[in-house]
Amino acid sequence: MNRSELERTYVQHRQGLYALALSITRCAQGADDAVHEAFTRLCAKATNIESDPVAYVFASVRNAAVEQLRRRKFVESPASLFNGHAPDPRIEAERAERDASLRRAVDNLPDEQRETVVLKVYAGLTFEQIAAVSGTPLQTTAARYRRALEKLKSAFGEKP
Amino acid sequence: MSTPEPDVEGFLRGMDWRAPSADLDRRVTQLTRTQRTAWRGYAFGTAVSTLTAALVFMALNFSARIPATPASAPMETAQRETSQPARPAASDLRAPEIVPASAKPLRMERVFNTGREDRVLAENEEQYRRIQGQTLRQIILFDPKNQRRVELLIPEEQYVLLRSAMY
Repeated sequence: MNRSELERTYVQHRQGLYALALSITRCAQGADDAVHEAFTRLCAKATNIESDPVAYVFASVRNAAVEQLRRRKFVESPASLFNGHAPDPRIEAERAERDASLRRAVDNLPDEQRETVVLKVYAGLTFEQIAAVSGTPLQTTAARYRRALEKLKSAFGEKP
Repeated sequence: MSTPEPDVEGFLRGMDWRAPSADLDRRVTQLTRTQRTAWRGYAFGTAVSTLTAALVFMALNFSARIPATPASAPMETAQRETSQPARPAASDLRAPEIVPASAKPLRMERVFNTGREDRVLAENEEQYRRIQGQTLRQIILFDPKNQRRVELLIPEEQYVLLRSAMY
């Protein structure tokens, strides 16, 4: 995978890569650093990737994010995966309430479930790719996603 | 009548996710492009070095083969006596064989010269000052037969013995 392909992969998946890093580090600066660090490593070595290159890049970002988290040891106030805009008065109150409860539910998911949701819903990866990224069996990945969706559905519409 | 299942995935996709900052985009893009530029720099440097080496090699070969300009006046050389016969440098071992006697030197230079002095005792118990001189001469000849220029490097070594007064 040469540097042009890496750049292309970043442009195509930048939001998913950043969301993955943020879901692990729970810190905007840490997520930035993790993505940057992963691409530094990827650029430094010219690797022949036999498997899925997109999954490989996501896995590199995930590893860098996990290292970032280990270095910081603890997170004072976990950053949300979503922008914390004030509710728009033009948007109906019901929708604003729904989004708020969903945001909270996603942020409060267990780490591995939140990671799976981010990769599936936001990054648009397949279960095979997610399994390759997180290094877990396909069945486990699918089960994690199913459990996460159940929790989100049950939390759906809950009052704050 | 049961309520329909909410499309959580659809709602999630439509939510306002945090996007990577412009700073991160710049950092990553700069990273990939900088390294690519560096790689190009290395390639360019290697190409320039190779080209320079090739040019130097060609120039050296060319200078050994092209005839000197006729305007350069030939110089007369005097045969100098040396204690040892003149020896060509290792790189010019074949030069004397291929340079005909009619070749006239174009330039003769002393490129290296050194001296050393010590004292020796002869068998007759007399003491002598021994002065050693080493010279490296460069002679550039023009071979009219083959129409080419030949460079010779000739090392010379001279010893002078001066009897010292005995006290």
